[in-house]
Amino acid sequence: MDEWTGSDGRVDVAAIMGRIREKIRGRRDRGLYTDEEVEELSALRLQAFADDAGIDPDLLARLMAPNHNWNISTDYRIETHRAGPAARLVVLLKKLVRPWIRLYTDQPLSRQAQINLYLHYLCHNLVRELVRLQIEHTAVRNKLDALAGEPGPPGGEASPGGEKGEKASG
Amino acid sequence: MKVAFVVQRYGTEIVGGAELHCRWVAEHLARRHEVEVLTTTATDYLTWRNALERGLSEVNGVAVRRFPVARERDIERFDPVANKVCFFEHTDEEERRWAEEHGPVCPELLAHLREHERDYDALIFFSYRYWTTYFGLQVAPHKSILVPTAEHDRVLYLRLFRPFYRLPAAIAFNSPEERILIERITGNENLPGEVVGTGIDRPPAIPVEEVAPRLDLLGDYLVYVGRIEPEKGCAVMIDHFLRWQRETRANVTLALFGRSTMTFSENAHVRLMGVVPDGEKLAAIARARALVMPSRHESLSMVVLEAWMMGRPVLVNGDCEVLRGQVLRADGGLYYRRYEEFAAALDLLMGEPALADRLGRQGGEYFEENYAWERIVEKYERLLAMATGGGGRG
Repeated sequence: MDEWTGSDGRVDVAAIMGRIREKIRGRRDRGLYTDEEVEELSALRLQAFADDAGIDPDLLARLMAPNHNWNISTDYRIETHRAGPAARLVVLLKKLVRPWIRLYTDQPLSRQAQINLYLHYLCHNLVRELVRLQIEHTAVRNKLDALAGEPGPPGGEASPGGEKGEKASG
Repeated sequence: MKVAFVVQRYGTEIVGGAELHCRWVAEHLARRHEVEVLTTTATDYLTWRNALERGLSEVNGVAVRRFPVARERDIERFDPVANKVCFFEHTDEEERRWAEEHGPVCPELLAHLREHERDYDALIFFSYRYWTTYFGLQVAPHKSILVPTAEHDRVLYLRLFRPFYRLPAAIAFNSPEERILIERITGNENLPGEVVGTGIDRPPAIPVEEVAPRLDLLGDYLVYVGRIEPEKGCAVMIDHFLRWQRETRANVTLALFGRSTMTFSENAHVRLMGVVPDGEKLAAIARARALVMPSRHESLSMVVLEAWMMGRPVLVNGDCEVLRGQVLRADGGLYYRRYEEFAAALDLLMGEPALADRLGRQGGEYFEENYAWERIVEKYERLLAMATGGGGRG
């Protein structure tokens, strides 16, 4: 307990948190990654998938942002590529028609927006888990390789796995 | 002095941090002043359905005047506009519509305030985001005190609250972090007021040794108290805890006290305890190794204060500036942002019981220094002096 006590006799939480972070950095030195690094690797992986799919880079940036500005919305801006009196007429007509259209589109679009959001989180979290599992898998494989390279127990050729196999069959 | 408290719901049956906070402060100020609570007849914050009798009544010796809510919340109308103003570009008109849909729309309460504001020396409004506060405070801002109970969520970013925060004579912030957050996000520097928070009313003591066997909490356990829902960070907390438990094979239980709105499979290590009387809850906290508070959005965690009152350390979500700040100021627990920090903190709290006890004691000292009722009432007296002396900006 004494190692946590400061000169004023109190336990210093900031110092403990510093030690915890130091310990986590130590894990990275042993080939284990922190959650922040898993996050960064996941973002890179997601970007690579999006590049393969040829997604508009602007949309990709919005998809990676913390807000939900990429999603569809029931509301929309009324515009036209025309100019002059024709443009004003088209915009007016569109504005007149919009309430009727929204009567039928608001509910399915709103539902679709929720589904989009759910799938977005699902995919991002799946990629994150995949990255984490791949890292753990690599760490375990490296450890096994290292163990396989070590000399066996003195005076015997059988590996621990072999002994286990014999017991199981016996 | 005659003081009116204005709050969206009120009563002993109301489960809600801000409402309980309001009730406790009103009851303590009623020992020195003539206090009246102006509120709605609703008990459910999701529907605002009128459930209580309108008119004058009394709750724990405090006069309560209830007004009916004009219309219930319509989820079909509220959800789209809430989604729009929180996550998309939107107009001022949509923000005003959000305020109406959010509710509780209570025109009779507003009319009473307009008609009788001269009868009150000061008005204290709880929770900035509700219709009753937003419109009620504008009736007599020069004698109004606002208790924002603001969290770092997207509602605080709405443009309609920028000028609103400049109106009250004084603001009772829950924590220094809440003050910084409000001033930064609403673009208002040096808002009048001070950091107050709340005390905790301790129910009659129940012996810890009696409660633990009754609740079947005999081994080492961690405790969570509050609404059990993903928005409070409970899903992530359970996921982190089970992962830590699998990795360490520790024989520790996570006991969840409160009403659950999420589904999860209970097992030997994660147990739903439900809602228990306050005395039992505090006894359970007193015997726990630590209290976990995973929420990312808090303006003041009363549960954390309860843990410190009972001398126990806390493990909080470090992404919440308020909780992290409280823990660092009190030296009363640890915090985490990622699983690895969560696991390392639990390793320490479970592996070094003496360290956990000392953190809990330090939290207890901090609670006594800052949240004893005498201190809280002193601070409210100073704010009332600001409101009645016309020292505000209204």
